Amino acid sequence: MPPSSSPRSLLRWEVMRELAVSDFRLKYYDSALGYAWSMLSPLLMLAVFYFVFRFVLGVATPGYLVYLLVGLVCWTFFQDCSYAGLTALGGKAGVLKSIRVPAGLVVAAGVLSTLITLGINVTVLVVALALTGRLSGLAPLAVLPLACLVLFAAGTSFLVALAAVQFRDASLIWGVLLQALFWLTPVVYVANTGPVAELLYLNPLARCLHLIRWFLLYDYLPTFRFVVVTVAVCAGTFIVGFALFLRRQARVPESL
Amino acid sequence: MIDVRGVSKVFTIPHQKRKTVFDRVFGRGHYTYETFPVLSDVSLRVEAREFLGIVGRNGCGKSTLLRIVSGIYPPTTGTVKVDGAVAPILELGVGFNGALTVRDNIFLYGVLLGVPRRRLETELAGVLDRAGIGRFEDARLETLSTGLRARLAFTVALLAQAPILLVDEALAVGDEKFQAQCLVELHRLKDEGRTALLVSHDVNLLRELCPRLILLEGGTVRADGPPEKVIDRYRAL
Repeated sequence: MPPSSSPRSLLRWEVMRELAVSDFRLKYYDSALGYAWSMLSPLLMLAVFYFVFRFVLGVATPGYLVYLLVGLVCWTFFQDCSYAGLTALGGKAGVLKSIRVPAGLVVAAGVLSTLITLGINVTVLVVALALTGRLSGLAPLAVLPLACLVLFAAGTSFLVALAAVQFRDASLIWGVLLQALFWLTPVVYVANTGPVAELLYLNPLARCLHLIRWFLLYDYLPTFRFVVVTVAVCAGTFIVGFALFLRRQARVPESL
Repeated sequence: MIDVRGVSKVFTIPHQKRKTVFDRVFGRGHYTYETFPVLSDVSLRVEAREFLGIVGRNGCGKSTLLRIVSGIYPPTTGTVKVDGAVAPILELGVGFNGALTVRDNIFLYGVLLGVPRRRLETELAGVLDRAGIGRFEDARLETLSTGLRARLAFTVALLAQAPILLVDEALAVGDEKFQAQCLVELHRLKDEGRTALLVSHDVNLLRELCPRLILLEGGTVRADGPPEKVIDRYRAL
């Protein structure tokens, strides 16, 4: 009696999808505004930062509002995705200890559920930009840096998930690191030129954000080298994170 | 067929449950931990179509053994060979979430147990009917009673058509009627020719289902044989 005619990979995909969709549903469970929160939270942050940077600090960059919006949508995704990695395994300890599910699948499902939110937000963003005539002609190219952002966030999630299994204080440390990373990434401020901007290029998130904005808003085509390095660093982060996780995966259930 | 050969499992338990990064970086105290052998040199063989029961007191390693056979924990030493898909029913309804609807829970729990989504869709009405839930498929799971939830979980678990079942005390919940129903189902599975490793404290259940039992004590097999003999040894502990 074979378990079914379905191949293993299909079953794995189904497990991941089912976990991700239920995660997504539970996140907005019982909240009055439901799924709208996935868009509302970056919008509320937008209002706060726009007020502070435009009026308190007097930033006068043209188009700062959309610049900020793109940054916040991407940053919110990265933050949620890494938190999903941090909490996924602990939250599913019971499942991992009594059903044979690869731990990596549980982390991947957490990543996938935040990807749903990113998908919704980017769609709304692009439609809004198109309607207001601000969408650049290079916009379709933004798919590439968005994919880089997802790879980098997913790789980080796997690393953070591993740390969370091993150290109880991983979540506290990650909170601090995330704050640092937020200010080392041009999410809310503008840094396009000068030595500081060059320094920020060391941060893969900064590179992704630059590329996404250039393609989406500014019709600017960067050097081929800039794009290739970004793709390589993000894909590399994903491969390293995933490979390290796979190496320790078998020991995850007993460590929870 | 399940073939367990010389399996040992040693857990390492740090003195403070999980070390903090601070401790590691600043080396406060030594990195101390205790090793805790749960299983030592366990060998057993369950033939195809056999129902083997395991008895033993709390903490004797029964659950760890089932987790190792399921492939959830890797053994420290030794090998486990299982030919065929395994359905571990170690805890009924694990993964259920009260905030989701009954239908969503059936899909979630079902795919976790390895039942393809398409089959769950076609079997949905039957599952609801057999679990006695009827038209409440859109209700949140938390509105169902504990007993109904257990019945639902058991009904879904039965959809996993794996030839090898590992059952850990999972059926100890629910009312008398539910337990009787479980027993009927287990008999049916046995008649169908499946293989099972059953852990239970209910010696009557084991006597009824298993022609052979083993007694686990202190992480080793202390007795292996016909139920009466093994149950006597178990009671004499």
